[in-house]
Amino acid sequence: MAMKFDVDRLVQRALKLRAGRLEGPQPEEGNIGVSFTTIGIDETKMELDKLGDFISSNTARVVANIIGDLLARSVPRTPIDTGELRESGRAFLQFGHTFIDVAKGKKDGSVTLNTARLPKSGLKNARFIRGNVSFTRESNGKDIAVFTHEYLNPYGSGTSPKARTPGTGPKYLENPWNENKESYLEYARREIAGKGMETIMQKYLHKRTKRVKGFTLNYTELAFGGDLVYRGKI
Amino acid sequence: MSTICNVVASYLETLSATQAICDALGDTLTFGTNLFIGGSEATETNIITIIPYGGSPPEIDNKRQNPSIQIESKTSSRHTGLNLQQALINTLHMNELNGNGKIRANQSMPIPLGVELGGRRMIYVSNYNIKHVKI
Repeated sequence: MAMKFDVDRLVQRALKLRAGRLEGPQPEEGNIGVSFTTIGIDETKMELDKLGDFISSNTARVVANIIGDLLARSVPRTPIDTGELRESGRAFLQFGHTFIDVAKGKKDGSVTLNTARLPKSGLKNARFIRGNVSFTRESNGKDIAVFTHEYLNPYGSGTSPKARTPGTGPKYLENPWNENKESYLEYARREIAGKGMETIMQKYLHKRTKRVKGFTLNYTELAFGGDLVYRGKI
Repeated sequence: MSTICNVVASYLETLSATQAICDALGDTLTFGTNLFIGGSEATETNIITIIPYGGSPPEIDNKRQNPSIQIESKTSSRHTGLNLQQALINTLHMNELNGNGKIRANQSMPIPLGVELGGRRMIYVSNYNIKHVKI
């Protein structure tokens, strides 16, 4: 935004006043008029709107990276028998009534990332952005996902659960979260409000110049096209 | 070597018969009889087992730790299991374990895991995070 003191207009007004040619209400003798022309308000408002969108998109990107990473750490630890439990692994974003898949688990322990761009339209009026990682698997009325996650005791059932191959086991989601939550919070702090945010914002800031009402307006445009894609790893 | 599981077990052993946990169980808790650590091969009904499962990393000063534990109950009825686990959550949440740390329940109600193979005992679990000075 720029605000200019319009000297030319002021001088013209003073000359007209002296020549008695000033139309409209006449100022009292001895007084002098001052006028301001403010330019850049429209551009400022437009950039502030974009800034809100940018903050929402950036926050969604950060949350997407965290949940994608968490799923990528969980799936290889998920017990495998038929592989359906691993394939049920899902990381998804929720903002308002919109759900966006970030990643899905695969039988081999890896994940498939949805590399599509985050939709700006759904984020525009979002009041919250929520990241979810979930597993769902039921069989014969038994909640396999919960049972394999929560049943820690290896004794008592008579047989060791078939699905517990070495390297896999219960708490396949909670343990990766517990082990990494401090890193995730630090990452979120850095990327949403710290250096990471500054760095990515710099990438999208461009200096612009244009003429407005006879003045030259220099301003900074936040130009991003919704390409704040997530990587799934942090 | 003692662990935080031993601290929790010792605390539970001190509870009187009228305390809510013992009242729900119908007995006081005795280590090796109806109270176990790590796992249990006991076939008796109405037992609880404290099982560690990692938790968050220790603090960088290496003086404080943030482990997680699960308390599993195997009971003769759903009613007993539910009441016992609810009493455990109510008693242990934000409990300072006689000055040895602070325990926080991760759930407000227990998680039912169904019936043990053979259909004899009902399994319920509840999970807890503990913050404590390294033992």
